[in-house]
Amino acid sequence: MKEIRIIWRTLQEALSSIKAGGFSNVIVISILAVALALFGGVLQLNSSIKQISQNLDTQLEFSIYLLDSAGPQEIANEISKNPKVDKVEIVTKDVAWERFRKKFQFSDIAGNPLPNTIHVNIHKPEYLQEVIKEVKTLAGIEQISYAPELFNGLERVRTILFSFGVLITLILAVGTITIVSNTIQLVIKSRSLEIEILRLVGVDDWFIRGPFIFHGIFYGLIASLLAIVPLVLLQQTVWGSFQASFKTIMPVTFNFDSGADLGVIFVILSLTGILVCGLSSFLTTQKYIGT
Amino acid sequence: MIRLKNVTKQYGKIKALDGVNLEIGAGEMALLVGSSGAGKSTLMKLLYREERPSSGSIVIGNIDVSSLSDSKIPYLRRRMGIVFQDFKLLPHKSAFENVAYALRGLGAEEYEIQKRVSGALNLVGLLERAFNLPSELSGGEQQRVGIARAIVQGPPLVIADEPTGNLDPATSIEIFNLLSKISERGTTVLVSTHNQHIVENIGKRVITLDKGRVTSDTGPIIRSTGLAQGLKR
Repeated sequence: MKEIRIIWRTLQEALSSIKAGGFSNVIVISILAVALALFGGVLQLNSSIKQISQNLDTQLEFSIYLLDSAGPQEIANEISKNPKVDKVEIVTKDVAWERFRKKFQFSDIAGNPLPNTIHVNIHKPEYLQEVIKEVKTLAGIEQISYAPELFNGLERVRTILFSFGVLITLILAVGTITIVSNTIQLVIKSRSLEIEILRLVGVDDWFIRGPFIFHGIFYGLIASLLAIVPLVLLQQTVWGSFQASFKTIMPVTFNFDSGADLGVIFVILSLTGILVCGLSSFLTTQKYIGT
Repeated sequence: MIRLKNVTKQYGKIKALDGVNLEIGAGEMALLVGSSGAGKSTLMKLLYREERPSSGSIVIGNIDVSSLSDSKIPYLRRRMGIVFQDFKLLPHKSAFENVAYALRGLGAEEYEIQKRVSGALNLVGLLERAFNLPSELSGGEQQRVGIARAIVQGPPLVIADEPTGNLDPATSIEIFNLLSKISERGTTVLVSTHNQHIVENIGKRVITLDKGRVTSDTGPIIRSTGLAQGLKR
């Protein structure tokens, strides 16, 4: 019961400490929210690209672009004989051109630059390399496009973006820790008389330091709540239009999931904010109040 | 109650205290006198473990203060009340809240806080001004709030470091009378002062420090002097 009373009073003191922070609270929380939003953005982008690339990696479809001299039907018949192949669809250059013109609302340009194409569906993703190897032996093939190629490319992009994002986030984290620490230090100085009195009457160390640590945790929590807002908006607006564009430009078809899991990202942001700010406050109180 | 054995406190090459030996019994009131820089405040700080002695031992009650670990300091300070020259009151809290503040930090129950704070303020004669801010109180009243805060936990020892340093003579006498009253209730009281008029008339034990050494000690005063019979306005 006594412990609960002390915790309750520690929280009340934390509220006083937050009040003593005044306008600097707004500044610290804003900076912190920007840093966390950036970190969340990195996680969001990473998760979205990963989702796309994983989707690509498990594709059952590839496309064959034929030389103009090759007969699409003969090649399609040859491919269909393979028991690992599920379905073969021919899209002639005329049909492809017509679709392309409709989609991008082209008027006429001289000639049709698109090749005859065969879309091949296989039964299992693991058959892909084997079937492609066999297709390559056929005459009249100009190029084969398949998802794992894109997967590797996207993975490279994802790794670069993620590393860059983590680096920027780390730099911001150092700045954030400094700002939180300085703010807590100022609050400690503004309440130095109270701290001195509490120490001299024998109040336990953690009751004196606790409010300032809660103060830091409060920063982390509020900032993470604010940081998730732009990420939700980004997901709702950009992700949808990105899906549509991506489906248009991709040579293969596949289904998207719902995008990055914002619930998980929010938990990560909250924990990061609380941990970084709490630790920063803890170390500051250790330095300026600790016995 | 308080026992110092060969206590020395050195700051660099300067000896603030030099081989001090002292014993103050339970319930006794003693005045620590000496000129500025004699070592009075250093001795006080050693007692409430704001400082550690360079050598020697300090025992208060059954607590060996000289070897006390930092984490045990709150335990020691809960067993003593400290009164300061500059009162150290929180300006935005009322007299009642100033006295109650520490009790809240110690986890006391609300009804207990009400009872103890009212009792302490009553003892120092400030119950009627309990909800006044320090800025609405005179210097003497502020110091009485400081004393109420020091005794609110019912400690066996009260240490007052120059409690009348910022007060006029008449108010100083009131404060000393109050500290005498607290001592007569069984609390050991150690007061540092340089108020010669009070020292000569209070009829209490006087310990004189000079250049960090005890140069004279009247020893424990056995007879009860009541409320310092010699002290009259």
